[in-house]
Amino acid sequence: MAAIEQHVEHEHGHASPQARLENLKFATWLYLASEVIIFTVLIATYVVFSLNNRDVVHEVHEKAGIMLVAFNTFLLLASSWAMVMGLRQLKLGNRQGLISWISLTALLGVIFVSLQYVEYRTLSDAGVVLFYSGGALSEFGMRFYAPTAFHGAHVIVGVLWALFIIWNARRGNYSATNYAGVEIFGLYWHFVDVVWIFLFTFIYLI
Amino acid sequence: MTDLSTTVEHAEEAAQEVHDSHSADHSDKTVILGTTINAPIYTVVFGALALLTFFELAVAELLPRNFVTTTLLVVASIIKAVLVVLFYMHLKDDNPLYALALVLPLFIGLIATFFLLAVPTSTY
Repeated sequence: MAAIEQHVEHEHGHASPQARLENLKFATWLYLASEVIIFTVLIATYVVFSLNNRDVVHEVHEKAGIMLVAFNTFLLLASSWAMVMGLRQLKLGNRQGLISWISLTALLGVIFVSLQYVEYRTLSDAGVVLFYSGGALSEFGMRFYAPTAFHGAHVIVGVLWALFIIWNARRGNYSATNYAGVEIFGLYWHFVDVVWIFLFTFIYLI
Repeated sequence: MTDLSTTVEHAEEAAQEVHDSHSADHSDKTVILGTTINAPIYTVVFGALALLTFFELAVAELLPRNFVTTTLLVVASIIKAVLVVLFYMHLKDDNPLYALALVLPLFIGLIATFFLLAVPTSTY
């Protein structure tokens, strides 16, 4: 594989589509590495607070309820499935299938963020606020909103990226042999899903 | 001309290599432990993710919180993350060095965080 990439580069003076995809994937994994550090720090900070303030966490869990967040988790997992099914359709040569699945991905992402807003309103009404106001709940809020809202921002970026993918697909810019843009978006979107898997467990379940 | 046709042949072989390595992903059937399921591997993985999420919910809601249940929840979340990374992010077919992009920063981030949290704040 490496040999053919080098051979084609030598012949034409620029990278083959496959070599370009590998380069993009490598760059994306490096970017994701930086994201891992940020989310690790945010989650670890929450976990340490949680271990030292079990009563506060229990109180918030009772106020917030788990069903809405569990449903949201299911939506995000489904969006990841829709994403990879879209890429599969493209690789099978079905561009319309790609558009349909990525549209579903974007829709599920929008619903996820909307329900997260509903959850924030509920928690805010219950006294869980971002700024420090003297109570234990506000100490919790600072550590809760930072990772979840940062994740939510990633979902919003992902939805915009999905719309860009759909726009590109409609213009015929992707094919069964040219899918680098879709695959790179997939890496990002699935990473956002992986982060939520841990946020859901460490913040809402434990 | 001969060089060009050799290049094209090599490119086709390379494309075939990639196609072969992903052919299981393109199949409409999935074989698990000898059992054939009439669904693509991605749908089967999604089913596993959904089941694990229900399992986590059941453990968190029905069982008392202790070391065992906490361990179960953490292990379930790790299994879910590994499934997504291997199958949806295609790490099972990609360069395994990419896994370092996830594991190494995780390790560094945890070390740095716990070191900073261990520093007392009230003695200054």
